[in-house]
Parts: sequence; C-alpha cells; structure tokens
Amino acid sequence: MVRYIVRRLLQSIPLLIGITIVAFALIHVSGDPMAVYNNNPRMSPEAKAAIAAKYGFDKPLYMQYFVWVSRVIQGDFGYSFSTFEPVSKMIGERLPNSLILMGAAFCITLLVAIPFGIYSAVKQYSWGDHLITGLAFVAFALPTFWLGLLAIMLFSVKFKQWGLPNLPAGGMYDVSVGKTFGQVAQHLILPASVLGLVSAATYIRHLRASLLEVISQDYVRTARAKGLSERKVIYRHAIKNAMIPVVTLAMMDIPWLFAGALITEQVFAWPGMGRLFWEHAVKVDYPVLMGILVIVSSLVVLCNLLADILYAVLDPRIRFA
Amino acid sequence: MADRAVLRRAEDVFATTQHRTWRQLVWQRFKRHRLAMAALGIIGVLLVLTMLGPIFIDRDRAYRPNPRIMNQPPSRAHIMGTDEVGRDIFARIIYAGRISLTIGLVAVAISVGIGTMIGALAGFYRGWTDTLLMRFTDLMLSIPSVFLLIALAVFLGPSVRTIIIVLGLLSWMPLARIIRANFLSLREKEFIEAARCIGASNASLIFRHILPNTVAPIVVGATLGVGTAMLTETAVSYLGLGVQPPTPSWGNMLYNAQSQMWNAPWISVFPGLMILITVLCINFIGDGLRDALDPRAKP
Repeated sequence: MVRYIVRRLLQSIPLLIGITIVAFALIHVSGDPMAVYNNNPRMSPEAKAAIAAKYGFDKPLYMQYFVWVSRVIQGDFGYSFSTFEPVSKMIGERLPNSLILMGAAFCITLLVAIPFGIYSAVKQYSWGDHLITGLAFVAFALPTFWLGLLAIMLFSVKFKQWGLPNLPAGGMYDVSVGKTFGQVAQHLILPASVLGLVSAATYIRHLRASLLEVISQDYVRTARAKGLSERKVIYRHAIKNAMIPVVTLAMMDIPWLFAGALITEQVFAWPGMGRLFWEHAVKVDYPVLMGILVIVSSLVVLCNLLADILYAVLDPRIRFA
Repeated sequence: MADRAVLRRAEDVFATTQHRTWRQLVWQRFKRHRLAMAALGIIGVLLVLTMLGPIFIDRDRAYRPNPRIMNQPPSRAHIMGTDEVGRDIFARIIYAGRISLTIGLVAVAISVGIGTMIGALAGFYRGWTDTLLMRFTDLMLSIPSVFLLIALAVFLGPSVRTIIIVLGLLSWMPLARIIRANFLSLREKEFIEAARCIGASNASLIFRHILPNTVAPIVVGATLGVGTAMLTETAVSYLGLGVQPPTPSWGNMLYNAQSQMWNAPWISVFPGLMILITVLCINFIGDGLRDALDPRAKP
C-alpha cells in the first residue's frame, strides 16, 4: 500500500510541472502584458521599458517561466496588476470559501444520490424509479445558472414578498450581522443545493446502473439463496461493489465541480476562487490568473491522488496490478 | 470488449443469413428504444426548423427592436411573446437555434477528430508515443476547462468562432482515453495480425481495420458531447463571454432575460426550454445508440 501511494505521488510530479507550463504558456502566448499601456499617450517608450524591466517582461519567455516557477515553489505568486496585493494572499482569502461551497455541495450530492440511486435500482421500473430517473435526466440537461436564478427568484425574492421565511439571495454573510457561522450556513443553503443537486443527477444514474449490474451477479444470488434478508443482501453485499464506479465518477467529476462552483459562485455572488478568476480574467490580470490556474489544477491532482488511494482501499485488485 | 471481433463476425454471419447489414441491425435495435426514437424525431424537427426557418422568417423580427411591442406575452401575432426591446421571441429562438446547434455540432466534430487521433495513435503505437500523449491527456483533464475557456475567451475575444474552437479543443480527453483502450485491445486480435501479414500499412491498419471496430464509443461520445457543448456555451454566455449580442444564442437569450424572470417569464422560459429539450433529446438518443451499438445486446 505504501509503495502504491509513493508511486502515485511520484507520478503526479510531472503532471504538476506540466500544469505550470500550460498555465504560463496560455497566459503568455495569448496576450502581451504590456498591451494595457499601448493606448496610453502619457507612457513614453522609456517608461514602458522600465516597467517591462521591473516585471521581467524584457527577458526571454523561458527565463520568465523559470523565474516565475521558482517563486511559485516558494509559495510566491507575485502581485496582482490591478489591486497590487500579493496573489497568494488573495487566493488564500478566497480558496476556503470555494472549498466550503464545494464540500457542502458534495455532501448534498451524496446525501441525495445514494438513497435515491439505491431506491431506483432496487425498485427498478416502479413509478418511483421512473420519477427519479426522469428528474435526473432533466437536472442533467438544465443550465446550472438558470436553476440558480430560478431558486433565487423563488426562495428569496418571492418568499420574502409572500411573507414566508426566505433565504438570502447572495453573498456569504449579512454585512450588518457579520461573518458568523449561522450567517454563512444560511447563505450556503441555496448555492450548495443547486450545485449539489445538479451533480447528484449524474451520480444517481451511475449508481443505479452499477447496482443493477451487481444485483444480477452470482454472488448476490448466493447471498439470497443462503436466506439473507433483502436488506442485508443490498446493504452488506451488493452496495460495496456497486460503489466502485461511483468513486471513479467522483474522481472524474472533481474538475467539473470546480467549474460548476465557478458558475454557482457567480450566480450567488459567493466570494470564491471561481469568481476571483472571472473578475481578474476580465481585467487581464496575469499573476492572479496564473496563480489560480496552478492552485486549482494542483487541487484536482491532489483530489485524484486521494481518490486513487481510496480506490485501492476499496478494490484490492488495483493495489497489486 | 474483448470478444467484439468474434461477435462482429458472428453478427456478419447472422446478417448474411438474414440479409441484413450491421447498420440495419443497429437501426433495428435503436428503433425499439421508443424514447430515443421520439427524441430523434424532435431533434429532426428542430434541425429543420432552425436551418430552414430563417428563409421564411424575416431577419428584422429577430434583430430589430420595436418599441411599440415591448414585453408582450405570447399571442397570436407573437406565439412566444416579445422581449424587452420588442423583438419576436419565436424568431429569435429560430435564429439562435441555428447558432447554438452549429456551436454544438462543430465543436463536437473538432473534439471527436482530436480525441480519435490522439487515442488511436497512443493505442496503436504504444511505447513513448502512448506515454507522451496520455500524460498530455491527463494534464488537460486536471485543468478545469471552464477556467481555460474563460481565459481564452477573454484573450481571443468572444465570438462564435472562438467559442467553437475553444470548446472543441477542451473536450476531447475522455474520448481519447476510451479510443486508446479499445485500440490497445483490438491491435492484438487475429484479424489485425492477418491484415498485417498481407502487408497492410499502419495507416490502413488504423483507419480501415481498427477504427471501424471502435465506432460505438465515438458515436455515443459525439452525441452526448453535442449536449455538453451546448450547456457549456450557455454557462459561458452567463459569464458574458459567449456569443455576443445582437447575435442571439439560446444561452445569451436566457442570460439577457434574467432580470425579467418574474415579470415577463416567457422571455426566459422559451430559450430555457429549448436548451432543456434539445439536451434532453440528445441524451436520450445517446443512450439509445449506446444500447443499439452494444454488441452484447440481443439482435
């Protein structure tokens, strides 16, 4: 097991190097950081050259890359072009918020998908199954932001008008109350539910299919033939194997969760990394964009690593392959 | 998967005795999937409407603001109502459908092309080609594509062409992995060995002998990919980096209608429904195709 983990750790190093190269190349090939000054009549060529020299833009690209990477390794992502704050501080402020949202959404996904997926498979072709599969199909085909806007419209705007208990429409906490646990939890309900329910749709479909396949296997028939109760057959014997593809799905889904979080953050004005990225993409703020790309992708690599280890725990065949 | 070649041969025998080709067999199995057939019908109607509609519907109805008929609910003259500047929503839906469907279809064509190429080369040549291409695939998979999409849309300037290319460039990875896995197993089969013996070139082995045997994941992946691409276009439109007004797409119609969601629901409901119906139908067709193309299924 230890050897497996070490091997997987070593494998992710070239991946991380690749990520820094892609992030750097993407940002630097697609635009010139000095372009902001092109239409500024007060900038003399000398002043431009001085700025370029200050930020190292006058050096060849590969030199710029090595300078940047050696700083990134030390945790220094440089300074934002627009706010002049250190990028690591900006990301440090936003990253926990994104993780809270994604964590809550993931919990909701599992809480919804596991019971409904099991029900759907055990009671195959019942009307409950048809309803669940139908809803999953619809959730899968809905634009996330539309669902989010509808939720805001209904649960915060209309409920308020109707005098019902309502949920806040956006943000992370009420400025007049402050950032308390209760406030954050209240503001978290809508975005986390929207994000969680949309991804639950995929999980339900996969869990249903995989459980149906497991149920038809011989060892399940044996368990039934032994006279075990249906509950024991499903929850003790079938579910363990049926969960393996779900772990794979969760693994493949992590980048998607970041993407979904980006949209959800935008809809609910949740101050996370995705929103930070969007705000600074519009301002063409290179250091922030490169920093976020590297951090988000590294998190994906880390999550994949954890999922792989979990996978090896669940399925001994992987460990010895 | 391993028995695909054998099964195909069996199917060929079956086909000759029954005077049916493989394609007919697939179609026969697909037809039994009633939901997928209905979805295919709806998509067909949509395609005809959006591709031919602009011939019959005046462009001005979709593009030119008309202050006298702002925010009108659906009526006989405007079956889906009018929007906040007095444009006919039905006309806009038709014009937008053209753009949205084109984005979905062309982006998928690009992504299937890249995915198949990379998967085929990696699986066929193995060795360092495989290592290099698959590590690159892993790399692309670990960078959340929406972030790249936003960055590229900002730098290259949002336009229909940029969106199509970027969507295509960022979505080929899962298909490449599947194709590679199929190539790895198929290249060891006897029929490939036989083809090699009679002197078939590598290109001929890849394109004439192996590729036709992995058509199932390509077709299914391509179908489902159209839906995903359209949903991604919607998401990018919401961030203001999608198709730019006045050119309508279903995504930007939905986005522009967000302030009117309660006062004039028809402005947002119809484009939303169009996306929902289209993606839903595409997913049904994809599922139907998956069942129909599965050689393990009974004929």
